[in-house]
Parts: sequence; structure tokens; C-alpha cells
Amino acid sequence: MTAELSMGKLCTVIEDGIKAASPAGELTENVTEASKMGAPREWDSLSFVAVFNAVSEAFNVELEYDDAIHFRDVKSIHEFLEEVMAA
Amino acid sequence: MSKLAGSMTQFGRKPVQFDFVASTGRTATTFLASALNGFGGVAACHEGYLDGDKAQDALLPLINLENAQAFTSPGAAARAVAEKRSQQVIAGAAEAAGAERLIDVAYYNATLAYALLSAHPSARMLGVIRDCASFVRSATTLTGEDPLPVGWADPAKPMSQREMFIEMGRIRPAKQSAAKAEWKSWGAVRRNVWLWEETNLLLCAAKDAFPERVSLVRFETFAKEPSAFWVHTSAFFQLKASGASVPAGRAGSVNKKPAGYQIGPQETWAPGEQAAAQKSQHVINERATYDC
Repeated sequence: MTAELSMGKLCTVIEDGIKAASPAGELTENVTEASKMGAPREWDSLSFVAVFNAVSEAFNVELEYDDAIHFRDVKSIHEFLEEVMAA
Repeated sequence: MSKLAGSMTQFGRKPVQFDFVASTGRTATTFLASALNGFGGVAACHEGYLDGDKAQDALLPLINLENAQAFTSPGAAARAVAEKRSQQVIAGAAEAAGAERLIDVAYYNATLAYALLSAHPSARMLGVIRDCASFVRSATTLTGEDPLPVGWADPAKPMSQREMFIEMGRIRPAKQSAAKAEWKSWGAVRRNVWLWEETNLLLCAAKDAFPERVSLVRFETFAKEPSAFWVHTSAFFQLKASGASVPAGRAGSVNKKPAGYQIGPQETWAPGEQAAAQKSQHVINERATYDC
């Protein structure tokens, strides 16, 4: 089921993606609009791909590797999705 | 006052000499960074990590995804340099390492070369070029997780999340390019032949643009004639003697892929792969002007 894009929903999807890829399954801090790779620290190169896939699935957007550059922080992901989903 | 000195004074730091090494990877870059780090006053990094020590925090901001973007966009390369390799960033890293100069050895320096040399007017680049066939053989594994995923994996190979992340930052053919149209039909060998040629063309282009500040060397010299390599490199980078005139160890003996090569010699490749490798090797042979 495709989710409507909202900042709150996006943060939840990203947080769940990071948790799924993290050995402890918990984060040192919640994902917010200000979050980026490295903050929370569990958002690293390993969980990056999980976030990339989780966002693709949750918002039903087909992503290519060229899109990965937009996935380093929440604001950029949101802006990217707004653009893609409006097209 | 130079632009460099001015910007450093603003932040209360001494001017820092920044230089870098660029290659396709699989050119003993970890060893090279460690050897350079042994020279007086030098903090040398391998892909941002001081002395290649990835157990410690990186000395320089890490670069991965920006590499692929920089390949297709000079503007993106300039932005990546402004964000992650500015004079202020370099000065801060050198200060943190207690060094007066900094050298970064990394594959991504090929895509950033023009932007780095433009942003750092005194920077020098050493480009290391290995022969195509041996690079392709060493660049990837056909099965199992690759601990050193420098090149493209076979498209059918299952990959770990770490391998996938690194792959996202690897250069690939631009949309609308002839190589892009064929990309899906190519296996690991053909893709890494492409990677080898494109990366080394970037090194050649940097030499064309900044001939006084770029030196191209053969990896074979590094591996087989280390004395000649270090005499050249020490002079080019104006390195202070470290006690030993030539760093210990031969590059060739420290550049073995831990799991061994899974791709056979060039003569065992498919005819189309062999032809592509020969063509690419010829292109670089014609294009590169070596100093050592």
C-alpha cells in the first residue's frame, strides 16, 4: 500500500528502515526533519541501502542508483519525493 | 597575499599544502597512503582515513555517492569539493593530525581531480595507472561478499548492503550514452573494462589541464621498481626524507586480493571482452604520458 507523502510519515519510514538494518534494532535518537546520515549514528553506509529500499516501497517510487545522492538527509529525501511524486 | 594564505589566516591556521593520489583502485593505494604517511610533516589518508586506519574516525569527510554524481556533472564535483575538500576542511584535518601538509589517496580523486586542482591552486596530483587486464581481474569477485569491492560485480551476484552502498557511488555510464545502452548486457569483465578506461581518461584529462601539477605513473613501476617510483614521487610531492630513502615493501607484494582472483587471465575471457580490453588498453596507451 502506498503512503501519502508527509514529513512525519517519511521520518517513520526512514526510522524503521534504519532499525531493520541495525543489529540492536534501536536508535540512539529519533529520526526527525533535521536527521541525516550519521545522526542518528545508526544511519550509516550499511543502513543506507535499507532506507533507500524502504522509501521506495513505502511511497511506491522506482528508484535508480542515480537517485541515491538525494538520500543523505531527511529534507533532501522529502524534496526529492515531492518532485518525483508530482511528476 | 595568496588566496590560500588569506583563507587560512581567517581561520587562524597556517597554510596547508594539499596533494592527492588518484587511480582506479587496486593499485596498492592503502600501502601507498601508509608509506606517504611516514614522510616528515605529512598526514596521508586512504579514502579519508589517516594512514588507512578505518578503526579510527575518518580525518576527512567521507566521499562515496558524490563520486558517481561528479562523474556526470562538473558542477556536482565542484560542490563536493567545496563541501568536503575545501581549504578550510583540509586545514582543519591537517591541524587535527598535527601535520603541515595533507595527502589523500583515493579512487574518487579521479572524478574530483579537475575540481580539486582548481580549488587548491598549489595542489599536485599523482595518477597511478595499472594495466587493464590485471585491474579487471582484481577489481571484483564473482561469488561471495567482496571485502574490497573496487569494481562492478557480476549483475547476477547477490550483494551485501555494504557492497550495494559502495556500488551506488561507483561511476557508471551517463544516461543516453552508448555504453548505457549496452550496460545491462555486460558482465563484470566488460563493466570493469569500461570503469578502467573512463577513470584513466579522467587522469589523462587532469594532466592535460594542469600539466605542471599532475604526474602520471605506471603501477608496474610502483610494483617492480619501487626505488624509481619513490625517487620520482618524493621529488614530485617535495617530500622530506623519512629516514629511509625508499619505504619498505613492494607494492606488488601487498596488493593481493585476500580471497585471490576469481576472474581468470585475459585469454580466458569471452572474445568480446578480450577485444574490449585490448581496445581500452590501446586508448590509454595512446592517451597517457607517463613520468615514471
